Amino acid sequence: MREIELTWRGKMLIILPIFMVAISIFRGEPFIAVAGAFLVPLLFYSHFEISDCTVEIEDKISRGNKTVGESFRVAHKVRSERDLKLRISTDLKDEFELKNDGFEEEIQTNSQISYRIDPKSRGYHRIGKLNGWLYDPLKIYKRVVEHDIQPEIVVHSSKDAIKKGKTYSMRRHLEEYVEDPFAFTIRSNEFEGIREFQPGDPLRDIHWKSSSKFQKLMTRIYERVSPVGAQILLDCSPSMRRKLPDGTTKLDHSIYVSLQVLNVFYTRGHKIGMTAHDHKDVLFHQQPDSGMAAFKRLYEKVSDLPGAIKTKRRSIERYETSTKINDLDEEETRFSEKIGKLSSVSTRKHLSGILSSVDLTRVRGEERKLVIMISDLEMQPQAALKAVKDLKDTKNEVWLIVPFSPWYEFSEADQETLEKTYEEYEKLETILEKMTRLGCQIFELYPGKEGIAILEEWGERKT
Amino acid sequence: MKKHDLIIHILGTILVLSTLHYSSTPYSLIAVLPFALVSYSIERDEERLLLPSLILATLVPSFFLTTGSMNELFSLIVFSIVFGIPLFLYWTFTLLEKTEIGLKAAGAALTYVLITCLIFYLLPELLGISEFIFSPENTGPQTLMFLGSGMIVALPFHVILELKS
Repeated sequence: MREIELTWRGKMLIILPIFMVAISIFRGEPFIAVAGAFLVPLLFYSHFEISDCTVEIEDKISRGNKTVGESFRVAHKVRSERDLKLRISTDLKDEFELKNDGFEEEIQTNSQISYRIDPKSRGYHRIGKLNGWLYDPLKIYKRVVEHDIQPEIVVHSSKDAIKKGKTYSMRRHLEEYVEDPFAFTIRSNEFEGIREFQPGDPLRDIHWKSSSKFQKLMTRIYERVSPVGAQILLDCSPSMRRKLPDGTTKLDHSIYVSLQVLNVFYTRGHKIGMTAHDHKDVLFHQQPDSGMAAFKRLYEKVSDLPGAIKTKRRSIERYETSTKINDLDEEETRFSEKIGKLSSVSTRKHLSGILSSVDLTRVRGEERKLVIMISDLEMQPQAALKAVKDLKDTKNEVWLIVPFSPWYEFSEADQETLEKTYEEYEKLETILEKMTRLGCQIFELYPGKEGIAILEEWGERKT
Repeated sequence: MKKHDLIIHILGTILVLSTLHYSSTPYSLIAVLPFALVSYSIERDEERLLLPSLILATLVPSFFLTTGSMNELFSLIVFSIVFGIPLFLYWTFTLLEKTEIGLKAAGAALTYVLITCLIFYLLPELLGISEFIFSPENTGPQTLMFLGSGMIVALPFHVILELKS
């Protein structure tokens, strides 16, 4: 319903002619009253201007993720067929707070108003209401204008909270895998007993029958067994050896990681072995062995691994499932020719390095072991997925370490590159998801997630 | 000088001159002061001062105008052209911030004046009873009727216009 009120100006204007009529009667002359009569049409003029005027308010909310504690911009474009004046204030819901309190602004129609608001809690929220008075050009009448700010806003947790969450989960990982006396043990299928459920226990192990009996959540405990040995599958394919802007390669990083892992395993008395492969063949294979000598041998082998290669262009189609090497640069081709001489015992040799490596590890006895794959999954990700499946079929425990990848450092990119990179990122995510479903533990080592945030935002915008 | 301000000054001058013309006393020169006050408040953009000075600029000339006679249709037309309509425009332009006036709205407002004139001047003239209504002894009820009846007639007319648009 439209509500039209007189402003203080309007009230004065109604009193004035009455006052003039009174003077006119007192003086006995009609002139003053007639002059007052000419002022009355002002009321009509104003009323006419304001009464049939429609106002449309369009909301514009800044794009990007909204997080608790970080203010964002809200703008309203006011459209009206006539040029009237608005005095506007916002009536926000409890979940939001105005950046500058006491917001009230006077604007012309067909112009824009903007302000910043602070989200206070996470979730899906509507911002609130926009209240205003629409004034006619003479400011004699005013009309109530109410507008619900339409779009629903998703507010994420604050960055600090996310950071805390991450640290917590990292600590949990440490507790689970290092400080735990059962470190480097894996769950077997041997049933051990039932105990009370504690946070962190897998949900699928909850024993519902005894839970209802004890009126507490109970969980099944399975015997933990130590794997016989640890085998590292190191990916040395050209994508891993591509030189990054800072002169290092992902392979350098991976070698460092694998040596650290080997060191930890060897000092704890586990058997260690390593297989290096590229996209075509196995470079070297060392079966799990215990002792200082095994570590030294591996250390020497690792230092002999091929070095960095310079690429002429940044290849975008990195997730090709084909094993063709036509799209490789000259140096890469020469390298692959060189390593082509190396032989593999596998029937899948010269087809995929990782599958050959898996075959090698399987040939050497049926013992279960922990297989740590270090790969960026850029070349032959499908083969890697198949390798995980094969390893899982023979009841091995598989971990995957994804080393730092350069596109996570993207801060600025043109639309085409972003689009392609996002596609690749999506493919990587689906492969990682499939691996997780197979029961593979995945460790992703990135310096920061800014690049991923950009890609995810791009994806959201696309949908 | 802006077009908007220029119109206000011209209208103010017309109002001062017509006050001097109608008034028989030299004191009517005082009417210049409130108009100067209006000009000052527009120049300085002082919102608070604007309305009181406008009211003063309406009352002061009106006070000095109470020497003439309004009992004829001709004198009313002259008064309207020289004082009434400029006064209405003077208010409108001073309160507006831009020169643009909604023509439709202005037309609706002026119909009020026309209808009032029709009822209180043209009809009594045609009926021959203008002497009875506009006698110097009869000013009180006459002025009240002038304002009241005009509004009573003009308001429904205004509503019809509004519904149409």
